Amino acid sequence: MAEWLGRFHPLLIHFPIGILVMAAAAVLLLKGKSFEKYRSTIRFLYLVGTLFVGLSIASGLSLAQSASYEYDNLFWHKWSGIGLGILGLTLFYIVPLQRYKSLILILNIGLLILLAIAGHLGGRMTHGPDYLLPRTRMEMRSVQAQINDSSSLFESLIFPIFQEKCIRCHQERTQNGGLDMSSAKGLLRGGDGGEIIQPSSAYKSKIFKRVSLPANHPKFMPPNGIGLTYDEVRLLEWWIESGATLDKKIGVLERTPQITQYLERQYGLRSRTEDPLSNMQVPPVSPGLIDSVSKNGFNIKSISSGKNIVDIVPIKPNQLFSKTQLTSLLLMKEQIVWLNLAGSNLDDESMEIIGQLSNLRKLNLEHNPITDKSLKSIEGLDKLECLNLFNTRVSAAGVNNLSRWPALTELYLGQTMVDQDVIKALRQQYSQIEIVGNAVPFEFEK
Amino acid sequence: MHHCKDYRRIHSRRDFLSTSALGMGAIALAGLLDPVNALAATSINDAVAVLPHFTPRVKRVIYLFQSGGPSQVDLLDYKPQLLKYQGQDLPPSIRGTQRQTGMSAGQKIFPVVPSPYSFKARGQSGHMISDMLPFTAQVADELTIIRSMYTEAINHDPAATFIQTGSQQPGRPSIGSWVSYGLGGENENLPSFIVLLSKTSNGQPLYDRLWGNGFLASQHQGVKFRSGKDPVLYLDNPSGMDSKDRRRQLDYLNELQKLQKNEVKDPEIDAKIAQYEMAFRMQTSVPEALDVKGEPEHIYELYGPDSRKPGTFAANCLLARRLAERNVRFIQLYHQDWDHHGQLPQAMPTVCKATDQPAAALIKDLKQRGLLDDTLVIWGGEFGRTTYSQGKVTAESFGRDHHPGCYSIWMAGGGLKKGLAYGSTDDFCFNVAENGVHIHDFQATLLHLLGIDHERLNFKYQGRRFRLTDVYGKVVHDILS
Repeated sequence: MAEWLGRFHPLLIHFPIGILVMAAAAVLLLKGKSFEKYRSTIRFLYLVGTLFVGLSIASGLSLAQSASYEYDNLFWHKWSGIGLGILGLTLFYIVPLQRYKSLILILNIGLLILLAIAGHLGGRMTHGPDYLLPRTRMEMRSVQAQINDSSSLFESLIFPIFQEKCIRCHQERTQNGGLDMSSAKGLLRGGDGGEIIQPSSAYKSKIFKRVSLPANHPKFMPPNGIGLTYDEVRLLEWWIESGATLDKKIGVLERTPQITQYLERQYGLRSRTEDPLSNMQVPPVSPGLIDSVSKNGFNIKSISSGKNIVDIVPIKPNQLFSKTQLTSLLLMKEQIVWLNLAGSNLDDESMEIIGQLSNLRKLNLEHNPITDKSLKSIEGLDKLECLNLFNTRVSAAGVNNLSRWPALTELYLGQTMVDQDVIKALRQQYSQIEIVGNAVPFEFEK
Repeated sequence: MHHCKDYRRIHSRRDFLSTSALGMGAIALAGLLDPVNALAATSINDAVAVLPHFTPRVKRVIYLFQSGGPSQVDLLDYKPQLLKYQGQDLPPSIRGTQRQTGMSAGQKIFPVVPSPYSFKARGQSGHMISDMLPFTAQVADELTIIRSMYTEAINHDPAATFIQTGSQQPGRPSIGSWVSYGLGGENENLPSFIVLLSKTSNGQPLYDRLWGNGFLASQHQGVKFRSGKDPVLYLDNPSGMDSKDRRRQLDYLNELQKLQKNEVKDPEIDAKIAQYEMAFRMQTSVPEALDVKGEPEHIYELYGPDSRKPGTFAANCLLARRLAERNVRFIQLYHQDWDHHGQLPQAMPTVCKATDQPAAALIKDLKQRGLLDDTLVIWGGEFGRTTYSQGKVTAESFGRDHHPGCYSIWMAGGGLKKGLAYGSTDDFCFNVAENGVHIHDFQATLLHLLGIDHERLNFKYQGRRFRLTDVYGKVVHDILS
């Protein structure tokens, strides 16, 4: 019965708002004689208003028992309501007294402020925190933009759903169904009916079943307010299916096409592989240094804006380089990541210089009379990923041990002394390296 | 003559204030982060001061443009279901509201014609490729096929202009010009954008504006090499003049040009000086680059018998490889003769024979030289062809009309998922069924592979910043590795 009467709270509160505002307006606006004329009427308004405040408080307290509201809002809503009652009663007593004129004025202003606070907090609870001042699009964007591959799935995508849609009723203070979803501990413990999450099987998990029921089903969650959106249900499914862990990062979990699409659409998260050079940090070089290298016939190009790594090709293709010219490359030893010296008539001796460019990832040496000795000189290049030896004089002996270059993924051996059988054997031995031979049978002139 | 002096206002007070406050600051900052690029940006065109925007996957492009609109139904998009509907009217539900040309829109019936050629799964990738392309089939595992390309234009010129410049109306820069403007050349002795045309008597005309620079400085326009014995004319100095004389002549000319530049401040004068200088350097670089006499026998065999005849697609493919070896940024080949409105079964073998082997050979040759790793090769036309016949289907023949609604292209090279077939069309090969790739998406992806953000490469002209992709385009990340 008391619970049912609690539902009259939203109806009752409007009376005191109207009546007390009327009384306060009269006090603030009427001066001198006209105030005297209405003094008794104003007093009557305080009486009726306060009476309805009392009824509102009573019904409100019973409503708070039956439904779950956010604790912080409720606390201040309740006490501002009670304060309002006390103020109303005080004013009822002092309005007839002549000497408290300024006190009446001050109390009236206080009454209006309390009324506004109580009303606003009440509105927040029924209409949601975004009702009065909706968050702007920009703010929403910036909230979303914080999510990236290394964000924790639970923390950044799953828990916010719980906070928005579940925690009002399932928290430490109000554990409906004995369930507390405000902490990891509570989630794993489950509710009165046992565990709510079965890791790796969403369709056996109570939590997933309850939120994905038809909205008019008596067991559908949440019973009040807006249910989970389609995307949120899919996210929850993804989280449970991938083990319902608390710390796994979005980037390492396997994605279904739907999730991939959702993450891209919503957060601009792309499932492509990362730029292999993205974490290369090398110091910048002075413009003077760049000049002295390019003077030696090298075209120096930045690989990626904002990074100091460079790609070097000869200014003139098939240009011959002296040892001094090649030595100038050492000025940018750390910065050179890609180097193309095709057809530059390099010999084994000059390759010793190239062997010192320790950050090289790509090295093009095609059309140079270099031999196995040169490969020895560059065996320290442990970051080398792509090595082009097309049309050089290297032989099987030079390439029999490819583990010298642990990062190697591409090797070009066309038109060398390495014959097809050796290449076949190498392909078997080093399956992670793409070894490319001749496009057509080719006889090397020894 | 007063209006000529307008050029003086090229650096207005407002420009000075905005570029010196923001521009100089930006350059100083860029210099701290990236001294190489900051120096490279000699002109304060902020749009290119920070290029490439990210690590490029390829350094150059070879675009094998198949002008006229190759039939996807007969080459790359296998539709066995069409056999069921052979000769029947294309259902109106499939035809929908797609545009049709005036050549076939009035037909009473749109008879479905399945491809007369058989398709097979090729290589490890299982790409379904028509028997008309036996050599392309050999390199199937290197290819990324997009089956869901679509465009807006329905006629050759607007469609070609659209895919080349991002606009159906002429006047915008070609893709190669944008790339040249954004990244510049890597070989100072050759233009960064070179165009090679197959010599054919058939096919739709190709206008030079397809590789034009639009509003970009004119050194960025595609330099067309002639499809004959002498790709570039007048490389030799006239008798009695040696290269030193030539140099002195140019130096005096440059002095005059600079005087004029000081007078009228026209930036095109700089472009002209740059082009004169390039022409001078090309006198020695071009004969070397295009001298195919030294190519060994097995290379000619690889590219096919046509490769010995200058001006053929095969010979141009071989030249393209030589230019790629010399680090030319953007090499574009055009082959016409794909416009098969009628007599398709008679015309198809000829054009396939002319293009299939050389294109595949180019892939193989680039691959063995390690060049495919940082080159992007594109094969495709301006639109596709209809699944129904234009005109009557007879026992021997039929034709196909223009079809912008869906078509296929292939790409190969660095940064792509090799062997992937992306997107699909409906069973009638008439509509995109999933993962449609619009012309602007294709362009955005192309630029992305070169390390360029298509939304950041722009040029201010007549008060507006223009992009290759206008205000559209999404990078197709799904095809990138």
